[in-house]
Order: sequence, then C-alpha cells, then structure tokens
Amino acid sequence: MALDETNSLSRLTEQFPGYEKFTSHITSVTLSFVLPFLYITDRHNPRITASLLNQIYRNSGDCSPTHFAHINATACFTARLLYDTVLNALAGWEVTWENGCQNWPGEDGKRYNDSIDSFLHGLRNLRNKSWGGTAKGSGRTADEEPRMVLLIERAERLKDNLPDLIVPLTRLAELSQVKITTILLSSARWEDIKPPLGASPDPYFIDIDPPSKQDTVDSLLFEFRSASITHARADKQDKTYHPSLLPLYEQYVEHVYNVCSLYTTDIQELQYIAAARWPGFVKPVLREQSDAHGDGDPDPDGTCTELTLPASDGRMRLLKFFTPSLTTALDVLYPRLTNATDWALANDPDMQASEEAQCQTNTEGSIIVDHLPRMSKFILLAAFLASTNPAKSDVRMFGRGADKQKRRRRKSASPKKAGAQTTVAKVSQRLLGPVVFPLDRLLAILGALLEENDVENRPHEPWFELPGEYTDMELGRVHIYAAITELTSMRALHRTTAVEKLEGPPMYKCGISFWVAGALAKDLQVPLNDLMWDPV
Amino acid sequence: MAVDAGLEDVNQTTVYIPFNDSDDVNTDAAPPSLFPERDFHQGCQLRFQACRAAWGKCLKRMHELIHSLHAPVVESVVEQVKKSYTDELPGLPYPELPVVSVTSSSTSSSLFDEISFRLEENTDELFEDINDHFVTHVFPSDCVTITGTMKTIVSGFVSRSPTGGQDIKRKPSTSLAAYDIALLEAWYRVVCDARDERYHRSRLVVIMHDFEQLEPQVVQDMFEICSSYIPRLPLVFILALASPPSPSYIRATYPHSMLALLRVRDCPFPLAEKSLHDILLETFFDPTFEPDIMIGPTAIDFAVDFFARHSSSLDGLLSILQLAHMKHFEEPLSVLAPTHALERSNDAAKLLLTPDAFPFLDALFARVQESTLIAPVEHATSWRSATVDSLLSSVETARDTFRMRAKLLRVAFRLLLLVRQLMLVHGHKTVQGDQTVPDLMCLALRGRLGSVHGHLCSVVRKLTAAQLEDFVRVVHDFFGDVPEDVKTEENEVISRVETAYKMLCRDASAQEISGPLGNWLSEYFKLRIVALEDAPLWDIWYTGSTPFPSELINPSPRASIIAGLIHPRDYMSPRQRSGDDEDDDLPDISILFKGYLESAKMINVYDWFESFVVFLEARKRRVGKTRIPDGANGISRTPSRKKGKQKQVEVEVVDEDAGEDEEWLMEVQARFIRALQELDYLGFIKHTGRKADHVMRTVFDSPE
Repeated sequence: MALDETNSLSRLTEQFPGYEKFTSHITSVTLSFVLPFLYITDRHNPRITASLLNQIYRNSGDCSPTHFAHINATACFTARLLYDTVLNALAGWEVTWENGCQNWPGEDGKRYNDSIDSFLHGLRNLRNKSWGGTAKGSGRTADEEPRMVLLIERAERLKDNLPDLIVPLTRLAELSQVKITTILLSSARWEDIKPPLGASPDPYFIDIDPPSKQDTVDSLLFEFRSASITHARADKQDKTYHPSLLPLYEQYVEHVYNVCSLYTTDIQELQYIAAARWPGFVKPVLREQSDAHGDGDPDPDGTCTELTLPASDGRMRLLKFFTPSLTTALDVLYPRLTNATDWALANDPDMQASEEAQCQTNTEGSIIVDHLPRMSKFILLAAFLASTNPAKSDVRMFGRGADKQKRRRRKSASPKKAGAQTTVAKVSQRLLGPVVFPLDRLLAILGALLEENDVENRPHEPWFELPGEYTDMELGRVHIYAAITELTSMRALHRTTAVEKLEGPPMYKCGISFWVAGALAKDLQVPLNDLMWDPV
Repeated sequence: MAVDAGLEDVNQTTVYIPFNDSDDVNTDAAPPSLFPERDFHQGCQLRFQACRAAWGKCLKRMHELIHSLHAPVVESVVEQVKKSYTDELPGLPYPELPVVSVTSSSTSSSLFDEISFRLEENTDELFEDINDHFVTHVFPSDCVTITGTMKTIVSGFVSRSPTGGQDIKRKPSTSLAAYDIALLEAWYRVVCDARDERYHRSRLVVIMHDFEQLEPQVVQDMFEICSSYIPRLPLVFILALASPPSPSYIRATYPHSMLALLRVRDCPFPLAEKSLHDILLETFFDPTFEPDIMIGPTAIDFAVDFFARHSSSLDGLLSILQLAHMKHFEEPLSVLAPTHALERSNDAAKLLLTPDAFPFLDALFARVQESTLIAPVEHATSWRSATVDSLLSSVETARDTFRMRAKLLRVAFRLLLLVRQLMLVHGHKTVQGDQTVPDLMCLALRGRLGSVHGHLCSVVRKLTAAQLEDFVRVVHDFFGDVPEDVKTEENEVISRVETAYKMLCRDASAQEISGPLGNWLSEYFKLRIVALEDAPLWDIWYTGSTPFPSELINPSPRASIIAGLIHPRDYMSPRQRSGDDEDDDLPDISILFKGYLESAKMINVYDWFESFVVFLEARKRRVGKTRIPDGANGISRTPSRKKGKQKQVEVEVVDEDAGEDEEWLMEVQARFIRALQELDYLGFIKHTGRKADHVMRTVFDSPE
C-alpha cells in the first residue's frame, strides 16, 4: 500500500512538475481531517491545479476512505444542481437512464435536493451508510469515520450563481457534523467573494506560485510522452510523436518558451502553440529519416526503430528557420483568430500555398468589411460618428455653410492650448466608449454623409431638383429603417431602449470599433478623420 | 334607425354602431384596368394566370439555383460535423469544443433546415431506422437564462427515446433536473449501448439560431459547461450568424478564456454579389433555359443597385423580379404572352368578338399592322380580310420570332462572356473594362455592346499560336453544346469556326486563322447582339425599358403620407374623381394639414379650428346651397377658458342655440375633431401640455 502511494505520488510529481510542495502539503492537510475549509488561489492555471487535486483524491481512494466530489461552480448554476451533483459524486452513484435517472437514493428515499437542510441530511445519511458499511467488516471505530472532500472549481462564480450557498458551503463540516473538507479553487482572492459580516470562517489559504521555466518545459515534455504513448497505442504510422524525438522536442519547447514567454507563460497556451507548430517543425527531420532508410521500406512498427536526430548545427538551423512562424503562430493562435488544427494545416512547410494562407488570416491590421450593403456601411459610419462626437458639435461638423468650400469650421484641434488652460487632460470619447444617441440624430448624420459622399453613386433621378431633396427622400425609405433593425440584430448597433416602448425616439449605441469604422470609411471613401471631433 | 335614435337619446352613454360593409368595394371583382381604352373584360383574369405561370417558371429556376448555391455550404458543414472529434491535432492541452459558424445574412433560413435534414438522415445501409446524428435547435427566446438554455439543449435531445422503445418516467423530485447535463450524459450512454457504436459515433449537434441575439454571458456559461463534458458527449455547435465574418462577432464579443475552449471554424457563403450575378446570368442568359418574360435592362439595373445598396438578400431579389413580372402583365397585350394563351382557355374568336373586347382587338390590330409582320405590299388590302384568327396567328409568328431572337442573343452573349474570360486567362487585362457582368447584360439587351465585342475581336486577331489553339477549341466546344435549333440557325458562324478548327489541325499559321476568325466573330456579334425592342410586338414578352416600380419595393412612407395629405386627389381612382375645383372635394384632414404647414412650431388649436370653419364656409358659400351661417358669432359665444378639444365638445353641446347654424357648427366641430385625431394618430402632433390650447408640430419638412 505504501508502495502504491509513493508510486502514485511520484507519478504526480512527474505529471505536474513544480507542484511537489503543494501536493505534499495538501495531502497532509486533508488526508487527516484537520481543516474543514481551504481556499486555493491560483492565478495562473486553475485548470491544471484542479486536475492535480482530482488525481490526488481519486487515487487515494484505495488507501483511505475518502469520498470526493469535484464540481464546477459554473456548471452548478442552481442549488438543486449543486446538491444533486455533490451527493451523486460523493456516493459514487452512477445515474442510469434505465432507472429514470434517479439520484443517489440514500436510505430513506427522501429527496435531498430541495433545500440546504435536506442536503445536510443527505450528507449525514451518506456518512452513516458508508460508515455502517465498513463497520460491518472491521468493527466500528470512530477513526474510520469516512472523510469527504468537496472541491469547487471556479469558486468565484458562486458569488453570482448561488450567493446564498457560500456561507453554508464554507461551514459544511460544522453544519452537517460530517468530516467533510470544502476546498474552493479560484483565480480570484477570497476577499473578493467573501460574504459580508464575517458569516464564513476564515479559510486555510494556499497560494499557487507561477510555474518556472523548467516546470513549464517539464510538463510539456510529460505531455509529449503521453501523446507518444497514445500514438503508439493507436498504432499510427506517422512518427510525429515518436519517443526518440524527445530530446529534439525538449530543445524545441525551450525555444518556444523563449519566443513566447514575453507574451504568455500559460502552460496550456504554450502547449497549444507548440502542438500547432510541431508537426511542421518535425517534418523535415522525418523526411530525412525516410529518405535515408529508402522509401520502399517503411518500418512496420515505428516505435521500435530509433530515429537519428539531426546534429546540433542542424537543429540550430531548424530552430532559426521556424522562429518567424512561431511569432505568427502566437499572433494568430493566442487570440484564437484561427484554431491550431487549421493553422497547422495551412502552415505546413511543404505547402506552397502557405504564403497565401498567411495573407488570408485576418489579423487586426487588415479588416475587410464586405458582405454588407452600401447603405448599411453608411449607417454604421454615421452611428460611429454619433457615438463618438458630442451632439453639440454636429452642426459645426456636418452643417453646410453658405460657402461650400469652407463649410466645416472645425475646431482647430490644438491640444497644447487646451492643455495650457486646463490641467486635466480630457480623454477622447473614442477611448471612453460609445455614447447613446437617438434615432433622429443618426438619420441626420446619415443624411449629411450621404449628401457629401453618395450623390455621385446614385442612379440619376430627374425629378429631384432642389439640392438635398433626393437625399431626404432616400432617408425616409423603408429599407433604411430595415437596415438599422438588421444591424441591431447583428449587434453592430445596440438598441438601448426597450423594443416595446413606443413613445420617444429609440436610442442606439454604436457597436463597432474605431478600426472597423476606419475600414468602412476607407471603403466608402469618406474622410473619417475630418468628421471626428477628436481626430486621431 | 335604432342607431339614430340611440345617438339622439341623451341618456344613452354608449351606442353600438354595427359594422356595415356595404360601402366597401367588392374585393372579388377584378381590379380596374390601367388601360381601359384597350382592355377587355376577362383580360385581367387571363393576364393574372399568365403572370402566375411565367413567374412560377422563373421562380422554380431561381430556387434551383439558390439551392445549388446552398449545396456546397451544407456539404462542408456536414463534413465538418462528421470529422469532428476525429481530426484533432495530437498534443493539444485539452479537447476543444467543435463550433461551426455559418454566416447566413444573404440567404434564407431554409439553409439550416437543409443542414439539419442532412445530418439527421440515415446513410448507413445496415441499420435503416437509425439516424446519423442528433440535432436540436436553440432559439434566442429560449436562452434568456442559463437554466433555460441548458434545459432547451438537454431536453432537445432527451425528448427522443434512446432505444426507440417506451420512454422511462422520471420522477421530477428525486431524479436529475431537466436542465442537468448529466441527464444528457446518461441518455447518450444508452444511445451508444443500443447502437453498438464501435465504428462511428453519433454527434450531438446543437444549431443556435440568431447567435448574435443570445446573451453573451449565458452563452459563455453554456460553452463552459458543455466543454467540460466533451469528449464523453460529442457535442458540436453550429452557429447561425447574421453578421459578416470579417470583423468577427464571436471574436469581438467573447473573451479569450471562452474562445480557448472552442475550435471555431467558419463556413462563409460565397460573396453575395457574385451569387447575384450568377443567378441573373443563369436565369435570363442561359441558352438552355427560356424564361417566359425577358427582363429588361432597367429592372436588372434596379435589382443590382438595390442589392448592393440596401439589402443583399436573395429573397429580396426574388421579390424584385416578381414585381417586374407583375408590372409587365399590367399591359393588356401581355395576355398573349403564353403560347396559345387564348385558345387554351376557350374559343379565342368567341372571347374576342364580344363588344367589350373590341378596344383590345383594335389596339392589337393597329400594332400588328404597323409591325413588320405584314409585308408592305399587302398592307393596303390585308386589313379587309383580317379575322381574329389571322391576328392571333400573326401574334404566334411574332412570338416565334421573338423567342428565337432572344435565344440567339443569349447564346451570343454567353459566347462573348466566354471569350472575355478566356482573354483574361491569357493575360489580356484590358478586356476586363470597368463593366460588371450585369452591366454587360444591360448593354447586350440594348444592343450597345459594339465597343466591347469590337475590342475583344481585335484581341482575337492578335492571339499567338498557342493561345489561338486553346481559343478555337473552346469556341468550337461551345457551339457543340448549344441546343439544336440554335445550331441550325447559326450554321454560318458554326461552319466558320469549324473551318478554323480544321485549319488548326492542318497546322496553318496563326495569322491565317486569327485574322478571319476575329472578323467572323465580330460579324456574328454584330448580327446577334441587337436590341430586343426591334422585334415585332416585343413588348408582349419583354419588359424593355419600362421604369421599375421601385416605390413598391422601397417606399418612403413619410413622403407618401405628406404627399397624400397635400394632394389627396392623386391617390383617388379616376372614377371617384369628380369636379375640377381643387378645393371642393378636399377631405377635412387635408384642409387641416394645409393650416398645419403654414403654422409655426406650436399650433393654437382654437385658431386652427377657426381657419377650418372659414375654409368650410367659403366652400359652402361657393356651392351656394344654404345661407351663410354667422360662424364668428357662434364661436364667440363659446367660453374662452376651454383647454383642449374635449372641452370644446362639451361646451358646444351645452350651447343651447338651436337651429340650423347650431347644427352646422356641431358638424364642423365634429369633423374638425375627427380630422385632428387622424393627424394625431399619424403622428403629426405632439401634446406637450406646456401651453394651453397648443399642440406641437412634429414635421417640419418643406413640401415640394
């Protein structure tokens, strides 16, 4: 038994490098029931910590009677869901369709999910049942009272979903008289979700340190080994995750870390990027191997043969060659502009089209706004201006004076002068976010934009003679309103008044960013900067 | 009578006026013809049938085209669902939730029905009653809260019995909640056991309609919950987006933490503009398809412009073309559009020899006489012997002529496009020009493509040997594919192309072939691409340059209402119009509106009323029926403290001055109030309550 334990512990340290101290700490704290309430703060990788805890308690099930429930506070969005999930998990009860998806029935067949009291009752029942079960075998002793652990991941969500349950959950052992440890795992601090008036006891705090470089590399190497094991099991021909590539992978991962660590040190993000680039990276190496062995003799079981790795200068050249593509991978994959699978395909070093694919991935710099009718583009632009410019500036910005050439008496934007007068620098509205505007203002600005920029593009209608009459007519068209509604349903405009409200003009807010507006303006050939009160 | 008595009775507080539709127009009757001077009695019905048939044919074709446009998108979505969970990149930190986003702004929602049909159908021969995947639909109205969302998703799948047998009852209190995803997991385990899924697993597909309208916080939670259950539950999400793919809504709205859980793949539609061009081309310029009515350049222009400017939806295009058809069949002569139109319904001669069909016959006869259908020599004599049958048979001749002409034009136009495209492939950028395909269509229909094909043919003459070989082969193949009747008609150019083809085989020099070939093609285009208006009786089958009724597609309600108030007579049918004097039959609301336009920002209701009275009295005086009532006196007696129109009524009722004047005044007042309320209802008046007796104007447009 002791051997088992050390074995599993050593495996854990291998899988989760950097967590050795934490593992021993948490096992010693919880395996003997000392503390009823723990709070673990992990700002970096709560997901990894959760899976580590999960493994600790699942594996220790053989050696000590620990009942373990691991729930996610996001998933348990109602109290009933939480009670059901926790009790079923603690009891190890598997819900089956055949018996009507019944919950853990307990002894008395009562329902345990209608209030916190019945939940506590259920907990006690569970304790008694498993205690009684073991007692029959080995005699009833107080020591063997079963210990339970309840791990709540994303605990910060409890505050929104189940604010009333935070206090009972933190005092669970006290209330139920069961040896149950509650562990809240969160990326937020306890101070942020603590219920007021000291209703909860103070937890035992554990903070997780950020992983060091070596830890990161080690855990990626572990993932590589497990991937190669699953690959070997699946009996696949390709040798991308061949075990003998491990030294090369180590160097590669270190390189990835060096390139990307400036932007992210998140293990999973690094692993994501590494996984996307690795098949392309290792391809030349594998090709060289198969060339050397001759094409006619593909090894039937790839796992047995050793692959010869390139010499150190070869490796250096490989790394150097792939460095730029690592940065582009970071650019595209970190904000998830595309996914790793597609990126790996598009950036295959053999593919000639890779250059093209590079151009097509839409990064922030190149926004193409197509798929929108011309009028909708004008409406969006007008909405952007209405949301950015102050309303009182409209006459000056869009009003046409008698002299057409000098129609715009724009504020001669002189920040120096303004700075001299007032010490408080005024933040541009563009940075403060959009302001609300009524529909009428949107239409008025749209009219001004159309009159200035769209007259030449319209089909000629001979019966409009007065200047601006045609624009006025166009503004009242049904499809202008239809387009506004459609843009609202696309969330490119936000309607801030309720749809049911009839009185008063509907109010809107612009939903596009400055960059999109810039792309639209470029497309429509509208001088956006001239029309903005605070030009960029 | 009872109503009158009730109205007279002072003690009655409520009077029921029964609905009496006698003064309604009989809706069953055919609408009056726009051209009564050359229409006949049954013409409208017949034209309506013809319109239905013609539009039905066109619509069927366009539906097929749109459907084929959907097909690749549907195919790729289905493919991605099928491949999900199997084509994952090894070495990823955790499995990602597959999400397919489909941008569907330009197309109808039937796309998702097609997708879900394809996913749920059965492709396995072994188990016939088993569907491939499970699909459930989620609409924004279900997703106000996370509980509702999860309930919709879970019950969408679970409501189907996994084994096909009796559904197992679940106790609501002691079983899993209906919104618990663990329930779905239990259900799915049974499904897998029942199906013995070793080779392929059914995916659980969730189609989220109108994804933008969903609450982002709810969606975020939902994705997080679902992603913690994969790959035990092979969920696949299909998002129906209305927003364009390029500033991506998903990436702009949701945080990185959620996006990291998903593997989003886009399935964009081809550009809407391109599909519009294709549909127009394949419907009206396809050698093998013959629409009953050929759409003229104005309608095409309008459709393209409207599509680019207002709404890039293919449904909108359908409406535009339908309207063009309906507009076309307003013309009485268009009753002759379908083949044997009149014979089919009943005896044509009998139908047309009734007295009320004579204007129609006259018009038709005049058109046939002035057309080229009858040789000028016979002109002097033939009109004497003209019968209905002979008239109709000349219409038949005209129809065949027009059909063939249109067909040859189509073939020539397609060849022109083909040549243009070939030249582009060969790197002659200049042939591109600045015309789009619809521009070319319009030019071709007007017969003004001369400069374009002139340029093309001059490029043909300069082709190098290798390019020429390719070119001649393609042109030869093109003529090999045209329908038989076109082949017989075009034997001249076909034989010339044949000659060129043979010369090519004999290794003649490029110069020898390309020079004459260019000339031949130029001749051919000149002969065939001519305006359709030159054909006799063309307006029966061709909408030509009739202006498109754009007001019906994209009306301007505000302008129409104001115009209606100012010129109500323009909106009356001609029969109802009587009298020449402008003011005589002006409705009350228009009289009021005149005053409205002349007033300032705030209107004094009392002054308004007075001017109304003055106007009516002036009219009355002109008609000279009754003596002039002393309106000023009658009004001056009303107390001046009244605040609004209701007060006025009360006060008036109380007024005891009997006699005709009084009655007249009451009538005027009632009419005023009614008109005022109509204006109020239309939204022209705002009650501010800031100033007694005043209302505010809401419309400040200067009419005209």
